Amino acid sequence: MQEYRPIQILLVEDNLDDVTILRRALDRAQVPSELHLVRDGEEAVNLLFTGHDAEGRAAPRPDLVLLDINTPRLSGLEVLQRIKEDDELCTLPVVMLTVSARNEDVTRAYRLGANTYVQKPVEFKQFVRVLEVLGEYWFEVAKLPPKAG
Amino acid sequence: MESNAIRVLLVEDNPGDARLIREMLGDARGIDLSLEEVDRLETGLDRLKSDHVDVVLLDLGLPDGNGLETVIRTQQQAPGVPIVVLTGLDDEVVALDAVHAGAQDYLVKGEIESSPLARAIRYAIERKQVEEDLRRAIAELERKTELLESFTYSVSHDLKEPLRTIEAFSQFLLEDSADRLDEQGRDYLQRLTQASARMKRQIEELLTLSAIDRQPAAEGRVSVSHAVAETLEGMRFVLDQRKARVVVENELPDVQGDEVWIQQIVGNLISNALKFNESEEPFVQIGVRDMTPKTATFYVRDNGIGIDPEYHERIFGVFQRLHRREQYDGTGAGLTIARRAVEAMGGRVWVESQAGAGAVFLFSLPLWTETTAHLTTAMAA
Amino acid sequence: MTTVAMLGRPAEILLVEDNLGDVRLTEEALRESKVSNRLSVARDGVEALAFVRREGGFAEAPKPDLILLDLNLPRKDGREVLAELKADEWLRKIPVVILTTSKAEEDVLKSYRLHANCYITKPVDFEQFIDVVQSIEDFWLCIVKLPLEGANGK
Repeated sequence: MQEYRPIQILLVEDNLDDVTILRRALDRAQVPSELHLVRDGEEAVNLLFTGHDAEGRAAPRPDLVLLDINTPRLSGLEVLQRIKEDDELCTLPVVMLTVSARNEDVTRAYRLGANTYVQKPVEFKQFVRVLEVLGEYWFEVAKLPPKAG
Repeated sequence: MESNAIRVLLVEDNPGDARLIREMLGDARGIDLSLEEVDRLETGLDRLKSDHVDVVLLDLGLPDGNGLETVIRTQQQAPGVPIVVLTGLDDEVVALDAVHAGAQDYLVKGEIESSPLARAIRYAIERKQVEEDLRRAIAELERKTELLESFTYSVSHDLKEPLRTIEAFSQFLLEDSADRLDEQGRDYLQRLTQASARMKRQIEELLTLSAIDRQPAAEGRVSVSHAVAETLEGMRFVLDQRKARVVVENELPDVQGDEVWIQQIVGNLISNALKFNESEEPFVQIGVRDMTPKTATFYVRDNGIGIDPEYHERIFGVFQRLHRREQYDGTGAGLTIARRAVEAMGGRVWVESQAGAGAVFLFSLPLWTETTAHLTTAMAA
Repeated sequence: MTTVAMLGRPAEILLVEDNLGDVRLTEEALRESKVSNRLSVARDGVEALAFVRREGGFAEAPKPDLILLDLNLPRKDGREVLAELKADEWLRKIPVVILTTSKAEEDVLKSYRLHANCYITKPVDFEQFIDVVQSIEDFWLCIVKLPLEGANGK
């Protein structure tokens, strides 16, 4: 069993409509989580590597990253590569969450070390269902790496 | 003056034959020629490398060339230059082969006269030009088709993104603010939701179509029995809901094709049979009707509303509908998808039906045989 | 959604597990699955690697879409198997879920460091075990997009 604190999720997503949809879907799926949003790849890398957000506030290491592929400045796949090549950060679970269903993207993501790859469903109901299963799987069934790592 | 002359390169090792050609070209009237002679293939290929030549007169019996190979090597050296082959009396078969291999014409030594020679030269140049134009047109067409396909794919893919937003936010509006809207407002919202759902289906179908056009079909052995069983399994919910009965009437043979596509075809035809059906208990029969040594023709028969023969072609067009939306649901790409998939596997699909009397959809596919297996492996090798 | 459910063929799962009781339970849980699947079992680490590399008697072995890997295995340890899978240019794209009795933080951390896609502790309770397998199936076969064989495949 995991500890009783909300799961810290870092969401890397440029599209604010999608952010609203995701927040609502997380809420609907009753995933006990706190969402931290960054809008582009570079901001994501900075936050993860420095432990501070763009305004200089302390940003603790998240439990899980939801990473879009199509992000400005640094693409999601580049962010993924940076995380997985780093000795400290490589244990951080990264879930790709993106519209792309191209096998090329899927395969590249897995080869770069993505923990899993989920396509954003078009329908909101499906989105809720995806997050329910994802939330249950990662936060109840799976064992996340201890934070100290 | 020199620049307008047709430059002829004669590759001929027999001095007598060469002289004859030279004299005949000198006699030819109304054609301005400049002739260069070489007696070895290698020398000829060198000339082609360095100089512009309008036409090559090529002997097939050169000391350093061997029949057809002479033509092939010349063509490789100068793909745009027409070739007229010179051959002996008893060698017309080889000459014809040379034409198949890409030469524009051939002349039999000993039968050559001055004016036919000049005509052959002009013809060869002309014919080569036409061939070149055709080749270029085909290449251009292929390029455009490819562009169009990738365009369809990216358009339909990119359209999904805003669509998700429209769909989600109209639902949020419905959930959060429906009680603050009057009846008309709710009606508008309802229509918005329906339209976006329809658009989503259409995009999915366009994506399927573009996927079929983009990737070649797998060419494995497919058990149609298995494909039909899997399709029915996947449709169980829909079939139960419609209280539909589906019967497979005889044993279905194995074909050569792509299992996923065949499932898609069968699925689309069954959906179609249920959609345009007013019976309380829709009845669908599936089976094989004709078998030739190479092809099997399958049918999907229904007890639905039938189709007037006038529309038998139109129904296969993308997003074509014969009925009002309220009457029969559907976007109208299912049959298009089925047709493209069948055709991509080398078959045909058509319908036999009268209005009010049910419909029989038929599709043919190449049968699986051991020989096709060999052929596929041979081609892949 | 395009997931394994739309492959047009059963999902291929490789279970690497030496405990026959756990094998049977996993089989049972997957048999009731919504998604058509085929379970292959490797009983130790050496066999698992031969299976995915199609060596020895495994020339005809299916390419797994998902690997469930125990850590404590005879002949070759699960950690070594994981390291070899993830070091292989072609095999590394196959998701590997660690399914083990170990709760040790060290094992969790080491597995993620070796690029395990996920780490799950086997519950001792029989019903809970079934639930866990079904949750794995729910997630990996219904929600996730898995890499397909094709242009990038072997």
